[in-house]
Amino acid sequence: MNALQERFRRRRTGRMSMVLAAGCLVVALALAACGSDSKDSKSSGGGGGGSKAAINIGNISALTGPILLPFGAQGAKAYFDALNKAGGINGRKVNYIVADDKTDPTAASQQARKLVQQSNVVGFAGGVSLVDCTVNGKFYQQQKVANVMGGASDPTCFTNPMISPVNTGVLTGVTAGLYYMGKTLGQVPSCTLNNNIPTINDAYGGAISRYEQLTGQKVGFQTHAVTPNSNLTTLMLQVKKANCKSLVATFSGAQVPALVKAIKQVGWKGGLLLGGASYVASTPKSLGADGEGVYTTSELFPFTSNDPILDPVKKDLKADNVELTGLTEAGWLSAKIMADTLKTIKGDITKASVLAALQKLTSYDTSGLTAQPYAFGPGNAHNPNQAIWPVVIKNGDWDPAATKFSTLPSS
Amino acid sequence: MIQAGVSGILAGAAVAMLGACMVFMYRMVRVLNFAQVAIGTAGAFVSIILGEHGWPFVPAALAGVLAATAIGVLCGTIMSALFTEASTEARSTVAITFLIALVTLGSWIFGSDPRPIPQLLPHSNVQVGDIEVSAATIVTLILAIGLAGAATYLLKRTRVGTLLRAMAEGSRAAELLGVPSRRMAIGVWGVSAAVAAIAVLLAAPTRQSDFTSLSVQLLLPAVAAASLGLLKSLPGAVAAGLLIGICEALVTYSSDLAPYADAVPLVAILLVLGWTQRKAVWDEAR
Repeated sequence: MNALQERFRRRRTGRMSMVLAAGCLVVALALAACGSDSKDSKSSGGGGGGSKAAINIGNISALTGPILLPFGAQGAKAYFDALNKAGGINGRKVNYIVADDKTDPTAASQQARKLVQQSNVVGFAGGVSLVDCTVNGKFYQQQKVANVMGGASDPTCFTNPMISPVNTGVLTGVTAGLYYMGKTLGQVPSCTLNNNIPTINDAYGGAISRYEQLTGQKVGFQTHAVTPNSNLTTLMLQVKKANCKSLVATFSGAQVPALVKAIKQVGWKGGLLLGGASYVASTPKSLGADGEGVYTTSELFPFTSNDPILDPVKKDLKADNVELTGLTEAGWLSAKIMADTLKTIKGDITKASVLAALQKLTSYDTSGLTAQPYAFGPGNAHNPNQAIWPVVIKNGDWDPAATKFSTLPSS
Repeated sequence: MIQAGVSGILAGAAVAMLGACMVFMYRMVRVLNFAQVAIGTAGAFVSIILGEHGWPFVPAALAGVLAATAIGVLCGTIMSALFTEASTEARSTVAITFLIALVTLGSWIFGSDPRPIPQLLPHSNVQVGDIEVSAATIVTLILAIGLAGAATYLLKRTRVGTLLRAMAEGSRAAELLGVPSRRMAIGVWGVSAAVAAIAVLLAAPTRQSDFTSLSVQLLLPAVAAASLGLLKSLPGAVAAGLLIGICEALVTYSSDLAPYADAVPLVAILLVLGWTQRKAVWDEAR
């Protein structure tokens, strides 16, 4: 009898273990799918090289999947739609083909090959992707196809001869953020907390060394291991212990309220500057009264400003019913750069002629949307945007904290 | 180092409350309730939304706890009506369905934007030697330990506890003896949901504050705490929850180990599975 009971107990425990394991799997899948949504990508065919045919421009962005980044594509599409309504490029329409990489390397690879080899795109513009550069960087070099990215974060986006993003990027953003807080505001030592992003982690050290070389100041505390589950109170204790006077945190918007609460919890008094990902309209609301005085980073001209510099952007986005954000602004600018480059091409518009025209583009006036002129040029690495515009929460809304860009010195 | 460990007590105490709820439900109504945190998060979000509409915090929090109770009662009613005779494994699988439904519905209703979560307790700290302990940590710790003590007392020393234990031993037999098993099971769902809402409200200010993240981020540590309590011991689950919170904080404090902090609950679950299955033969366990 006892043996039978024991066997029954073991079988029951075994089954329960399986249910426990199955439940954990569901939780793990749910965590992986956090914040997912679904949107269909729009794509169409058409040749790019014929004299009367539409010109095919491609875009690879995360339209669905765990991280949604359709905004660059929306901004670029708004520009191309307005351009097509006004007659296109020398009478030729732009056929803007947006492909979804789902932040999945396999999908990104397939989409790049489909766009270049089947849809015959002559170049890419407005893309915002976390995997495109790493996965397709070599392919773009083999195919000699140029990419004016809207929003890049991966270091490989800034070290590829075929890619020149319009935005500052996370790494230059960290250097520029530390420079603003440490050098411009004099809040030293400055410290930094960064999200654990496998494609960026190894490069954070270089961004921090650059700040230290530029200023001769040492970073008081740094970690690049922050995850959505991290105990931020523990991390803020380390920031406080290191006697940091300012903190640069490249967190996503959803993590920022917890960081601000943790700062209050440990009683740390210092200046907080967030990364560009938190420069969205919802952040001040999500922080409430605790958010007053928190800085963030605008990689282009601050989209929350009422300055007329933004009027052309606003006009095109409004016509397409697209919300103005940092990334839609970047997408719009990259589309404009690509279109203005195409206009300079005499003869056939092909991958080769577009690349040649962009390689001649060493100083493009962005009409104040970036600190420096945009450049593609013939180099093997491009990171033309070397500045941030600090923005601060004032009376519950974003307000420019400076009257001009904070630009990193060249040496 | 000690200060870092103390900073994990707040998160650990919330995990402890949720883990204790899971053990309580497993023992009383034979379900490993994977929807526990999602139910609590739904209640917490109701109070957050009411707060955004100008409600003072205490009434808003009470309304949130009531909303969570109502959701718990609804889940309990479905379970009692349709799965009374089902095995524990089947009932736990239904709980996974509740989790998926709640996360989907919650994301749809509350959106994916982070919300401003009011601080339940003021930002005041108590100095103990060189260590600072926040008021929230102390209150949450007292609540977690008090909850385990109260539940243990209820089960062992009160008539309701006796009826609950009778129900847990055999729902059908207890019903024949006049124990209102169905109503009591629904009540267990409701009470556990209310406690889960309080735990989520206490933990939420230091967590990623969108609905989906909050629903799933605390679940794995809560399951780990319940597992370390071997799905039997309420004090064990509370102690395990606190231990997980402290371990996570200490791992985060170490620069070399920090990238692996998220793995602490998984390691705990694997240890429990390894321990409970140590004598099992594969064919038998299958």
